[in-house]
Parts: sequence; structure tokens; C-alpha cells
Amino acid sequence: MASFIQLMVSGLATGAIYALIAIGFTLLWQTSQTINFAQGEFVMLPAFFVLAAMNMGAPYWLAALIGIALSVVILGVLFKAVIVDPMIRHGVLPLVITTIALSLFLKESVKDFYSSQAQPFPALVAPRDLHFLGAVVSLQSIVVLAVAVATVIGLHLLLNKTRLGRCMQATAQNPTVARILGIPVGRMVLYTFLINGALVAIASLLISPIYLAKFTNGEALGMAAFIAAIIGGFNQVRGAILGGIILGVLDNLSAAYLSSSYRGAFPLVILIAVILFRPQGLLGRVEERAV
Amino acid sequence: MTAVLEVNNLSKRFGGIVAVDNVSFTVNDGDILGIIGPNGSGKSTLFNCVLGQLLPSEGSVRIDGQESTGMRPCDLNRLGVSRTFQLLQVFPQLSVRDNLILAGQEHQGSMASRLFGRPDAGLGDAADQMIEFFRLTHLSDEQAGMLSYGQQKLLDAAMAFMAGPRLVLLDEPAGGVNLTMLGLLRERLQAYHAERKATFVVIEDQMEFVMALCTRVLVLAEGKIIAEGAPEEVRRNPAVIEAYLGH
Repeated sequence: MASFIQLMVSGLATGAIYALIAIGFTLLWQTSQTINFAQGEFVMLPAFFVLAAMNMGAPYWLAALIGIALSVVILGVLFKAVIVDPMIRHGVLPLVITTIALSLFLKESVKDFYSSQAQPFPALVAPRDLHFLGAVVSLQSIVVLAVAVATVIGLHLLLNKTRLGRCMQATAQNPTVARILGIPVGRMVLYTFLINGALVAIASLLISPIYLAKFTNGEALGMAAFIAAIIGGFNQVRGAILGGIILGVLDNLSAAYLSSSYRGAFPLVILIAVILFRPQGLLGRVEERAV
Repeated sequence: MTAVLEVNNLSKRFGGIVAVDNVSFTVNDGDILGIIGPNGSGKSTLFNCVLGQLLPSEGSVRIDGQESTGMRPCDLNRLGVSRTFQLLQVFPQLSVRDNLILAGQEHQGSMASRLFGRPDAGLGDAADQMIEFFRLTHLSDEQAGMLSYGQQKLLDAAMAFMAGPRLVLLDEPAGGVNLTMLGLLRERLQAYHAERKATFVVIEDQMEFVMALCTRVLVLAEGKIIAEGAPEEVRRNPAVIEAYLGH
């Protein structure tokens, strides 16, 4: 029981990080038909922004802010202006291929310009264990979970409780009418790219202390976000949250109780099962958008 | 009395095809003008030229005496021209109430007001009244996409009236709606007209709906106006019967 609680907490923490990445992934899809196969590298990269800032002498908190800001500008604004806007005119598939190329480019650039070695990355809190109902739970897992949950709640409030959020939802659901009603559709789409930039940076700050900062981190993370989005339902923010949590928890439980050598296979098995039996995802609806 | 909508010598050509051929008409304050005609007669093209979705090849459109030819749909919206859609165009995952608030919102607001202003933009009461008027009260918090087709048509109409427009253009409001819902829609549109002296233009294939709702009817065939007048006159006009039944 004690170890089950430990596994659940660390599973939830990992799952919450997957959820953040998957939310950004689905947001981009909903507002601009961007399927971003570089999303994993988008999470890998901000850690190196932070490390670079710290190498220049910035304290951790300042470096973290710089990392988030750079991520919003480069992975949000520049990504949209330089890659998405010119490519989406040619269709969804050319853009997908371009994001795959971008993922390779980001990965190799980090390897060449920074290092191919895994870099230690500072944690948000000093390592400490909490004792809870006989279980030992790491404080870091709790903090990761808290930050991720706070981020999701903040995003939920923004999307559902403000006029801005309603305009963003309207843009995603029916851009033609949104435009006629005078909603600045282009700007709303840009905001989702900014939000994605912030989400991947936060995910990077949370996951890099666990995985260490390494140029290959994006491979597993991008796949996890993609699977989480598919499991939950590609066109739903709540789906991405559910998918991320399921994936994180199952990942931890299966490694402990079934077989750690097949750990990597379980998410893929779930993915195949979902695609076979419920292709719209657990919470998804059959795609309503006429593209 | 100035005309709310004035269309002068409007033509629209697509290559060699003349879809709308030198059409002129006016809509006065408080009119309900029906535009009917067989398929391919140019109704939708005419509508799209008035609404700024197509640029006319020749001629002009004026709203309240102000030149509006070639204005973008969102600018026309600000002039008080709103529309419903032939194919449903609600926001499917937002509630009925949120759909109406969006339709009535002044989108000119700053970033800060969008972020920190009242979530209902001060339009909650107006939205609730509109919901009640169109008999959608029990569905206020439902996602619009979950409504039946006829209910979505009602919502679409309610959205068009939400900003208190000068002129509403209804694009085939009766298409695909069952008879009961059709009766309700017509009755509600008439009630709205009686209460607010609103001005509408309706494009419709369904004769009975147009005849019962409109104060004046204009008949298009092959891009030209072939008849205009009160519903009863138009119905008896031999040219109209010829256009619908002839060939």
C-alpha cells in the first residue's frame, strides 16, 4: 500500500507534466490545425535557455523567468511567424513534415552548440522526503504536481471565465463567424502560440530536474504528449489532461508491478487500443470542424 | 424616410456567367423583404454582395445612406448589419448563453478589458431576454452543438438580433426545419418585428414561409428581378409562375 501511494504520487506528477505538454499540443491543433511534432523538443529546449542564463551568472529564479520569456518569444511568436504561417497555406501535411524537420534541427543544434552530455538541472525545491500514511513521498513530486495543477487551473480560468478566453474558444470552434463578429482571429491564434510557449517552458522546468537536461529528451516527451492527446481526445483540453494523467500513472504502475523492461511498450499498447476502439479519444467528440 | 438598405444597379459576373444582372431595390425601415427565386437565380450571390463576402462587378450598396460596397463583413457588422447562415454557424462547444454574449459583444474592447472585464461583458441580461424571447430558456446552459437542428436555427436568429442591428439578413432560415419549429420561428420573427420595428431581408426557397412572414417580396430569375410587390400580388404574377414552373 505504501509503495502504491508513492507510485501514484510520482505517477500523478509525471502525468501532470505530460498533461501540460499535451494541452499545448491540442490548443495549437484546435486554433490553427498545427500538429506540432516538435512539441517534445519544445520542452527540451527551455531547460537549455535556463542553463545558459545561469552560466552567465543569473540566479535560478531569474534564469527560469528568462527561460519562459525566451520560450514564449522563440517557440511561440517566431515559430508561428517563421514556420506555421508560411507552411499552413500549403496544407496540414507539409506543416507536419516541417515540424518534424524542426524537431531534428532543435535536437542537433542543442547537441552541437551546448553539449551532448546530460546536464544536471536545479530542482524547484531541495530534495526531501515527506512521510505520509507510512509512505515516503518526495517533496519534489508534490511541488511538481502543485505547479502543474495551478497552471492548469489558471489556464482554465483564462479560457472559460474571461471574455478573452471566450473569444479564443470561438476562434477555435468557428473562425469564419468569429471573424464576422469582429473577433481579431489572427491575434487569438497568436495568443494560443504564446500560451503553448509558456506551457512547454513550465513543463521543462518541472521535468528537467528529473530527467536531467539532455538534447534527446524531446523524443520521449513528444511521444508522450502525442499519445496523451490521442487517448484523451485530440480536440479537447480536458481530454489532454485526462490522457496525460492516465499515461503518467500507468507508466509508473506498470514499471513497478508488471515489467520494467516493457515499460516503453505500455503507452503504445494503450494508444493502439484507443485508436482501435475509440478513435475520437476518451473524452473527444467526432471531429466537428470542417477544415 | 431614408432607406435602410439601398442596392443600385448591382451586377456580379463570374467569368462569362452573369449571376446577378443589374439589380436595384430598397428596403425601408420596418420592412420585411423576402427574396425568392428558383435555384441558381442569383439569390445567394446577391446576398453575398450585400454582405461584403463578394465584391460586386458593378453597382453599389448603401446602408442608411452610407456607401458600403466592398466593406468587410466585420465592418458591416459594426454598421449594424447582421446575418444568419444557411448552414448552421453557431459555436458548438459554447453554451447557448455564451453564443449570444459573443454575438452581442463589442469586440473593440482592449486586451485588458477582455482579460479583466466582466465575463459577460455586461450583456448577460440582454442574452437572457433574447433566450426567453426565442423560447430557449430551458437550454440556456446547454452546449449549442447539442441542440436540435431547429433549435440551432432559433439560436442563429437570436444571435443575429443580439447586437440590436439596423438590418438583419436571414439566409434560408426555414431550410430543413420541421413544421412545428418553423411555425415557432416565423411567429417569433413576426413578434420581434412587431415589438422592435426591426428590418429584415429574408432569402428563402420555401414559398409559404415567405408569403406569411414578409411585407414585400422580390422575385429573382436568372439574375434579374422579374417581379416585386406584396406577397399576394407576386403569387398571382404570371411571370413568377412561369419562372417556377416553366421550361
